[in-house]
Amino acid sequence: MLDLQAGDLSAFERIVEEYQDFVHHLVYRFTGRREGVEDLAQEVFLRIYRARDRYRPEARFRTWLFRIAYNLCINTTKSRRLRRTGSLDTPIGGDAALGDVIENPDVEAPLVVLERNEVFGRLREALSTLPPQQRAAMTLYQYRAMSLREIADVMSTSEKAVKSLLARARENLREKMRPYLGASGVQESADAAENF
Amino acid sequence: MIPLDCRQTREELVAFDHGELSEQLSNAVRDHLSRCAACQLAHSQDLQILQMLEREPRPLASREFLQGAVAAARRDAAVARQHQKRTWFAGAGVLAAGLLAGALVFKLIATDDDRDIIANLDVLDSLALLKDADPGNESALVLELAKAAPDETLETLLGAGAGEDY
Repeated sequence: MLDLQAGDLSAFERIVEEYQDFVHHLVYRFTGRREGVEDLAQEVFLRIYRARDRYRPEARFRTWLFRIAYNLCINTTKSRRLRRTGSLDTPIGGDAALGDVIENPDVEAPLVVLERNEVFGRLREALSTLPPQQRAAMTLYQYRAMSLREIADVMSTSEKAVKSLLARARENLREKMRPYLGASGVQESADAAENF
Repeated sequence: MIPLDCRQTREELVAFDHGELSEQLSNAVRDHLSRCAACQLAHSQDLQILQMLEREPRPLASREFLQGAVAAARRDAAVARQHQKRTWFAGAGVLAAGLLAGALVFKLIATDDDRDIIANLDVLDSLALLKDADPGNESALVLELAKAAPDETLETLLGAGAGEDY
């Protein structure tokens, strides 16, 4: 970033290269839809480029980048009043539990794929119905390398507020995904925690 | 160890799963989970959802994205440079127009006395002297000019009472 501040455009290229997939995913999750992800991702990088002189090395670059993406997506979501439309994201229907879909090795492959797609469809639908801030908090939380403090910095809020947003998001998702969730016990829960 | 109730446990699960709880609080959460079937189930389902989120296919940047983003930044930089140039020229134009307008107004409304005052301003001579002064020796010249200036000029320039300080 300091090279970019010094006018080195190849530094910008390196930044885009390193973070492009990351930003695509963030934008996708923040806005809750696939359409227009590339345009918004490009706008994120353009804003980084324009704001290069305002970046201070004291701030962690990743936090700064995420904040730009977060603000852009929140504003876009507000202004467009994004509404889900019937698309590839629309779930197919059915009631298979996730545990069955992912863990049962006896199920025929095409069926597994179909059911998994359905579960992911439901998941996307559930995510898209979350309030934008809860969705953003969940997205950032997913990056295990990000502490709750850093998430709070990105969202310009307190750590306590982030915890609260996440707790509510988890509750909402649990409610919406209930038909797809297995009733696992403590041991399974502990295993899953290790895998997460 | 402080025992936690269901509400407290649910609140702490976020930090618990993120490995951000103290050892003592983590133990308290574990203890509650081992005793409460409802929280155990909720936690298990939370983890399943987090796993699903991990596994969900993500949109990746296209091959052309990098080139597109860099090209957009280049275009943006070019536009910014042009804008800067235009702003500079516009500013210079406004300044020149202002000076011209000022000169015209002066020419129209100034009396002969005003013109005499402008023509005989000592300060103009002083500026000319300063311009020709040896580089680095301007301060000495300013002192010399100040000494040579008539008292009334100094008073006018420095204000009433300034002469006493000198």
